[in-house]
Amino acid sequence: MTLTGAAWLLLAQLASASPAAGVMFAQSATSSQQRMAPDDQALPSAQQRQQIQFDAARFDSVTANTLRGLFEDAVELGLPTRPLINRALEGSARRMTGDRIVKVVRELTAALNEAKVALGAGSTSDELVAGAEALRAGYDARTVTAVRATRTPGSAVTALVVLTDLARSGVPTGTAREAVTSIAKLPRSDEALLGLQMAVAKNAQRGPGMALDALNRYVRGTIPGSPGLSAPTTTDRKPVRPPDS
Amino acid sequence: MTDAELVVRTRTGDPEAFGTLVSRYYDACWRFAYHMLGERADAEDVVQESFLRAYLAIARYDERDQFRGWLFRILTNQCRNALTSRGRRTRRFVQDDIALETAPAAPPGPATSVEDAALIRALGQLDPAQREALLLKYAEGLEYSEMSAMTGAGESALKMRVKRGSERLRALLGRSIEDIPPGSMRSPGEPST
Amino acid sequence: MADPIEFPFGRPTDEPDFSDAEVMTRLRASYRALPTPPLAQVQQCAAAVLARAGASGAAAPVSRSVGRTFRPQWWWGAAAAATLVVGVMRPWRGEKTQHEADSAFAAGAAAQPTGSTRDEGDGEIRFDLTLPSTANAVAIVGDFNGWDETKTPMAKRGRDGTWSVRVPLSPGRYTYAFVVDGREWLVDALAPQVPDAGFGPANAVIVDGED
Repeated sequence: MTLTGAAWLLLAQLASASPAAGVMFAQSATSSQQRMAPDDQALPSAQQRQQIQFDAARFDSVTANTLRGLFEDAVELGLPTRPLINRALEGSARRMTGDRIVKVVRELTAALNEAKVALGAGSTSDELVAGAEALRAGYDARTVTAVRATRTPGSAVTALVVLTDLARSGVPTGTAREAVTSIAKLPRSDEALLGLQMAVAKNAQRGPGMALDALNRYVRGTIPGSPGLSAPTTTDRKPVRPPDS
Repeated sequence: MTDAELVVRTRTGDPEAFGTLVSRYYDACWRFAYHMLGERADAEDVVQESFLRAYLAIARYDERDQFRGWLFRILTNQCRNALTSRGRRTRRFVQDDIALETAPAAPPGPATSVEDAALIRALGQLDPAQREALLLKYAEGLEYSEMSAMTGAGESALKMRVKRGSERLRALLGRSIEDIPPGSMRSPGEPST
Repeated sequence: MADPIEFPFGRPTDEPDFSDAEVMTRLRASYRALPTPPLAQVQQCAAAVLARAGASGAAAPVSRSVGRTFRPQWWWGAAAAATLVVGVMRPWRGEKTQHEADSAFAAGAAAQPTGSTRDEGDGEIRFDLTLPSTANAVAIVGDFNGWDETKTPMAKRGRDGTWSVRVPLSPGRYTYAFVVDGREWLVDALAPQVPDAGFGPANAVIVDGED
């Protein structure tokens, strides 16, 4: 994964732990009983504080401090913090170690930063997250940009989510890109994109090559589009009917 | 164990007997379905559907008949159904500026085999009734009387389908591969030129 | 390699004329060229048919008297020969292997929970999940509830192992997963997933902003 210079710098800072940010909350964080109530503190800007509400009680104090530092760095980079907080909470729910949680949040921050470059100005927070996941799934920035180009800002989330999912079904990245972009270009094609995802996911369970077969069939049945795209060619298993003798 | 014996056991609810029947005829069914439909996954679907129908209807099967023939009657029906419903949904592929792999030939990966992709594509351009008749006659080796009983069509109509289908297939295969536009699978509603 | 498919060459009637011989040859060659479907695929088919027949409530098919039926003479010999040839090429391996294969397949296919999401149109999304085995409690966790497994328990529907819950969600993208009996984390195998970040798999759902 390639990163911009600024991101590398930031990561270097993050890697060396950020005691400066941590110290500010050392007082309130030492007591394990006390909740971190972000809005209480006098800190960067109230607005920025607003963004970084998270239940620090779910983490040990060291991890909570480190995380808060990461979140603030994300704000500095102009990245949304909600996805990072969500990931941290997920890690805590899964009983992951503080180290692993911090590592995952750092990596997501870097991916969000790269996604921001690839997706460009005006992209929504959901789009940035979806783009970050697509990058982590192995697509390159060029691909993410290509998907972005098919839709107005804010409306590329479904396309990016579907693109990401195709990777786990063994669809080659280039093929997935072509399939998603060609469908996403069509008007009101979110339904069709989700249909593609479902068709491929269902067929991927059946064996090698099945996912790609399903993708090709689906794309063939969908393009060229017209208002009111038809249902995917791969349907659910047909219901059992009495046999026609 | 003969087919008849397996059928009797299947009727009493013996799953292994049915499994043996499936293993005996799966190959043949699948090859036919694959040539009829042009795609592995569709062929698998249709074959499974056919075996399901056979299982549910096995009470009505007369052991004096050939199991294979009875099964193939169900199979040809299912193939026809699959093509009809596919025809309702499939749009004619228009070459996009983005190249997509659309040929029904073997996908890349471990499942790849050396198969006659040009033939499968050419078969796909035939009228489905002609395709079916060709396969039943030349690949399955049926008599016209048997085909008539199986499909419900008259023998002379079947002979005509085989003749026309064969002519068209020869014409299609006579051209070089590049002349055949990729992905131009014909749907049943469209007339064959 | 021996031809696994017997064709009735040298038939006395209905011989193709010379020009059709090419077509016939090519068709048969194509049949031969296709790889034999793997045993696993065949066994999966049989297992799936039995499962679907069972699921539809069909009892074991019982013999009934039959009327006039399709009765071609020629099939008998060829079918017997084909059976014999198939028997030699791919011997049925016996009960034990079949049982193992069946249960392995069943375990593999059944081990994946599958579910669905549905926009109820009133600001709520319904999540359904079908589990392969029985569970006492299932909860959904995700971005929308701070991944807190006590917040959104699911309700069991019927006896078929399907769990369901409605969650109020404003438009946007959410990641989520399911927690079974407070310890096992599962995802919907068919819903979109996000790459494993180091925590394990999770699903993603997008809630539409406009109609």
